[in-house]
Amino acid sequence: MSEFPARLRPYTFAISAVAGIAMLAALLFERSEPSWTAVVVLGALAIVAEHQRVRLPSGLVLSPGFIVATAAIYVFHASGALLGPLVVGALMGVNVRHLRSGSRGWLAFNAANFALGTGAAAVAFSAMPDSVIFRLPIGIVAAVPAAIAVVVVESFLVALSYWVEQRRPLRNALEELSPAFIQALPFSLVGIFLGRIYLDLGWPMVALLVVPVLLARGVLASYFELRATHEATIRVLVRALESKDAYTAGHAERVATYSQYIGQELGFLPWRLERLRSAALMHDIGKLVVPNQLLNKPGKLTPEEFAIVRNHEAVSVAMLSHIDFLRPVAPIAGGDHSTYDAALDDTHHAIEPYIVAVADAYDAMTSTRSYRRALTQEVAFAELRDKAGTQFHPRCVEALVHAIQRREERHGAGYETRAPSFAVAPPVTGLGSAGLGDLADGLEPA
Amino acid sequence: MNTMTASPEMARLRNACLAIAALGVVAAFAAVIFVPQRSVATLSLLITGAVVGSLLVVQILPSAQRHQGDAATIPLSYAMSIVVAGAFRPLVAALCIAMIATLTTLARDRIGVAQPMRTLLRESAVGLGCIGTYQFAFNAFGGQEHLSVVLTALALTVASAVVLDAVCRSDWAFALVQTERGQRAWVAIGSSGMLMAVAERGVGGSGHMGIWGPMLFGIPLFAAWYSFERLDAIGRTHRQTIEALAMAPEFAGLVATGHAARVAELSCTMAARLGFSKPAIDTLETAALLHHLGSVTLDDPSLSGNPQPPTTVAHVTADMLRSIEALAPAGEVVARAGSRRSFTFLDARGHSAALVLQCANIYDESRHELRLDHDAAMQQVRDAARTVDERERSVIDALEFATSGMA
Repeated sequence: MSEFPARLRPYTFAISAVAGIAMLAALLFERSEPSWTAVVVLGALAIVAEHQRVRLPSGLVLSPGFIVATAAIYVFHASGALLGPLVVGALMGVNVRHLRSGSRGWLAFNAANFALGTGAAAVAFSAMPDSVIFRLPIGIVAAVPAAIAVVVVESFLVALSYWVEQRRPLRNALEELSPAFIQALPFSLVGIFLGRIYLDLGWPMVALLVVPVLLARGVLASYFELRATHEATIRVLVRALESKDAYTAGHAERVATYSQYIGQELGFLPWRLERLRSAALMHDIGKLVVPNQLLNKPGKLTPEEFAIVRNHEAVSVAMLSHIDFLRPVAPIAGGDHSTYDAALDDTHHAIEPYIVAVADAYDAMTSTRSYRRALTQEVAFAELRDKAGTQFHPRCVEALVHAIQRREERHGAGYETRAPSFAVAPPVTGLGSAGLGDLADGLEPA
Repeated sequence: MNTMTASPEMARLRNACLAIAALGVVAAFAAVIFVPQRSVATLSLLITGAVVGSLLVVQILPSAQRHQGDAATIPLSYAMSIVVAGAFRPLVAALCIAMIATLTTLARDRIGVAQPMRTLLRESAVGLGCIGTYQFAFNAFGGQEHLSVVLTALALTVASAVVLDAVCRSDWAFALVQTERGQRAWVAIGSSGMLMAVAERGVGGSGHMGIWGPMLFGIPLFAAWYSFERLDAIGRTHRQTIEALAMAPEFAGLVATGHAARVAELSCTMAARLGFSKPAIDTLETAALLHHLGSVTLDDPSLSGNPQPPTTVAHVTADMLRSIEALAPAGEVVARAGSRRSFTFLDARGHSAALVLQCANIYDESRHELRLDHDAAMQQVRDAARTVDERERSVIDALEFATSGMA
């Protein structure tokens, strides 16, 4: 966690003051005090739960703390309905790392944020009649407004802090935080039941719930760790590939990005997008086995040399096929399978090879190669559209054009970020192609 | 969540679970309408949960060590067996276990999951054992409706499930319980089963939630299973990626076909013989699989006319691996194996991982590139290792052991 931003100090002071006043008011005016044993048990649980947060690659944070927050709302409903949840919520802000580093700013910010979120949920929950809350299954429905309240208030306060600190529009920040709703409802339901079973049977039942939650969190963290390692392995592989052929620096990463654009336009699910990205990154993996001397040979290749270079496609397919997750899309790496054939365009054939073929060709045209300088984006789009239906899949072409135009991105001549330098300046004419370019001009593929 | 969430296998499993759940809900509604006792509807849903749970299994061993069939899996349905044992009369509970076994067989058959007879018998034995243990323990502690009595009886029920499951595995016995993943799976299943049982039945008239208890408190168990599945999938993909990379020097004709896989297997057998820890063996395996990877980034010796110096290959490979935090230890092994200073790299038990890799590599190259017989290959290893050190001698003894069937 970074140093506490100076701009956030007045804001943190303000929300801390509001939380403090709410606690004071609850202490003075609530008819009954909360059970302090329950405050200690749930408070300790809240601290533990907040230390078990898992940040997903998407940026979304999964926290079991929400279970404890809604459990507190239920447990204190009859006695100390506002003070109990406010205190438990504030304790959720206690973080060992902040305590060790003496970061009082973050401690206050988190404590006030959680306290106000949990307090708002308690207010929403107390509006429900007892006859509804304590009856199943209708009691589950009664928890929904409370769940929404805690997420809305916490998200709003965090979005407000973004605005104060970075002047980021509230709407954008709220859009980023909205996926938190996904985790809110199931967790809130478990929390309500945890609260009920705690009231009826005491703390041992809480321990029984905590065990699988902590376990799931631990395994999930291991998963993300291994996933990061796997992605790093692929990146190193791509770097090794690019170290053999400096002219294609960044090519694999760009092809993977364009492929993802197309996949998103076509409505791919996250698992399919991830598979597409991995396969696109590795589509040229077979070039690892092509001798450096051939990849970097100035001038034309002999037929024998061309056959050796062309063999990299078969090697790529063999290597991708070894990985179960990528096997269904391994033809991505085989040139023959990615050339569009309207007769084969049905649901039985994976569209991924066509996607990568379009992305590969677009990047080849908008990058400077040894045989040709980068073309403009407009020329590349026109070339793709011209070959749509014969060489390229029409849907993939339109999806890429639409995705790039919607993002207002510019590629190609005049917009290259890392144009390689060549001993002899490449010519400005010739469309060339993806892959081998016109190194093999005049040769028939083996 | 941007993860490998729904592979085709997962999608098929999900569809099967949803179909079973839908059938269960229909059965429960029918029971509510036609049968006066509400517990019949509850039982219908519990049985449905158990059948779904029998399809959701925790894989205990990594994919590379997994044998055919389901010998290394623990089904989530055990949690439901604990619920049934703790919440219903013995006869009703036994009937439930029989129905769960029958419906599970049908469900597994329907979605094409292999189910050997012994699996069915084991799961049924665990279910019936849970009923017997719970009844015995509950009555032995006085049969009173106190939380401590119920929880103790349920804890003993979980323990009996662990023991029965292990005893019924002829080829695995207690090996699964001794693995970290096996222990984690049982802790999750056991604690969730106890919680769901108490929530379903209540204790002394308190805390009774009926079917809603198991339904809601099953969520954390499901989350734990899902996390195990994701970890398993990414582990398999990562391993296969490493294996695919290991093939690159072979496809390029720089080493003999199958060299990396053979050296990895030899190294692991030697390391196990030498008493290396599991993480140390894993590191050695990765190093062995990838120890020639760097050769593909160097100039091809058949075109340049200059052979690739082994030290250079080792250093280039090591640099590639060191750039990935998790593969850096494997990079160290490769670097030291190539530097001829392997004895300086010792693991916690004083064994040299790099020396193991070096010996396995020399042996395999001698056999498959120089076409030497076993004895001559071993002599090559001894010459290279210059056996003067007790530690080196133990490594060569381990190589003798690992190659004993290859003579």
